[in-house]
Amino acid sequence: MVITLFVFLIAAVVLIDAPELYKKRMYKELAVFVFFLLIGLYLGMVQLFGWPFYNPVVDMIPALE
Amino acid sequence: MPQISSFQIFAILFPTITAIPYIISSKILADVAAQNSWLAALAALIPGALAVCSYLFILKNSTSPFPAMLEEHLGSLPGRLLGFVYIFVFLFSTALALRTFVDFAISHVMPGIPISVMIFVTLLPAFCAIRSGLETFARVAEIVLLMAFPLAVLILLLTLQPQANFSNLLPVYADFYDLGRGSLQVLWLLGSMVVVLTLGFYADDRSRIPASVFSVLIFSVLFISFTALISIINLGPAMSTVKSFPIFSMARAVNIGGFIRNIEIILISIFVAGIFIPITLKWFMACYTCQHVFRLKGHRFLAPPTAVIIGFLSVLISPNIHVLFVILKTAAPAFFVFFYVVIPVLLAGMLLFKSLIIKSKT
Repeated sequence: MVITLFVFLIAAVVLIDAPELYKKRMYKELAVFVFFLLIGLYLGMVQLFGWPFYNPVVDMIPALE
Repeated sequence: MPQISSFQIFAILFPTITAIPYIISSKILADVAAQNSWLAALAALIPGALAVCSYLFILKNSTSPFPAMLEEHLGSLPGRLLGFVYIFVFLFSTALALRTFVDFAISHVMPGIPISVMIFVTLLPAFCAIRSGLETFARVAEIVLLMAFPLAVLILLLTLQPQANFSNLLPVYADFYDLGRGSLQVLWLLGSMVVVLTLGFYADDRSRIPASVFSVLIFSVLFISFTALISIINLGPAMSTVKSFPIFSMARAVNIGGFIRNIEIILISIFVAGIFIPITLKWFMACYTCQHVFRLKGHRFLAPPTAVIIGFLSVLISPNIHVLFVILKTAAPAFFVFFYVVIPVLLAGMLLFKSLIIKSKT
């Protein structure tokens, strides 16, 4: 269920602007769009599938406290 | 090119600084500076004024808005690299503001609502605002300020019950270390005014920006100090530290003659309206910075992919509300003071030094 929603979310994000950018031949804009989408996709995988993610702040908590 | 008035700049900056502290700063400041938390907030006026002077000096000596001004003053490659770093600073800042609101909402307002739903619902109006443009956002900020600010002050005044104990403020002494730590807690919030380096270029009358920015500084410091003061008077330093959201607890306890009570819903309403401003502004700054760093033709199409980053990052920032408060108390002030205050002050110093050298040569 969660994975389906995630796939729909990513599809919606792509469909909002990517086709128009492609039609207008704004390839640099499209590349930046994809770059940020891939970062978002990775963070989603971290949250949903437990992919590796290093959060330095969490390791620093004992020292910070 | 969109045009915004100096009052709209005030209306954008003031909630950006004060929306989150309204709920959390009384706890964090009490933890750091105990009964002198309100004094620590007031002391932030001095470094805050230095930061504001730096912003205004940079604004005066630049021909392009932030982050393009970084390239103008530091050179193409260092300026673009620093701009690239700022994209993620603004995204992180948005995620932190979002997570603070979401944790408040799901722990005190709507327990049981999934965090993903809460994040989606919070991001949706901000997304629409970014897509609509800066002028629309500025107008909404005006409405939010005029509706929420008087109510926020009214709630603070209503929480002053007859059993409020003014002796909680004693002893008033100047422990300069605690005072400095407390000031740092406010300074990183005041550093959000760095966005004036961008907004200033869209002002219809640039001569009125200094008055607007200094008004924001003074009103914000007074408001945060007053919030901390009320919390100390009502709850004392120990209880202010223990409660997750002291102002919410105080608002819930208000009962005037059995007639005026359950006013926490007003507090929630104004907080929901207020938090829209910092989330939208910092998100807008991330997209706008990205546009200039990569020399793109617009920034609005970047809202959807960055929304995915902000949404998931806000969940991954901390595993629970306890860690979130530790981040807000320790890591966030150091991190944001460096990017919002130290770097602009150094940049202003560099510009001043350059102008002095040019003057001495001529």
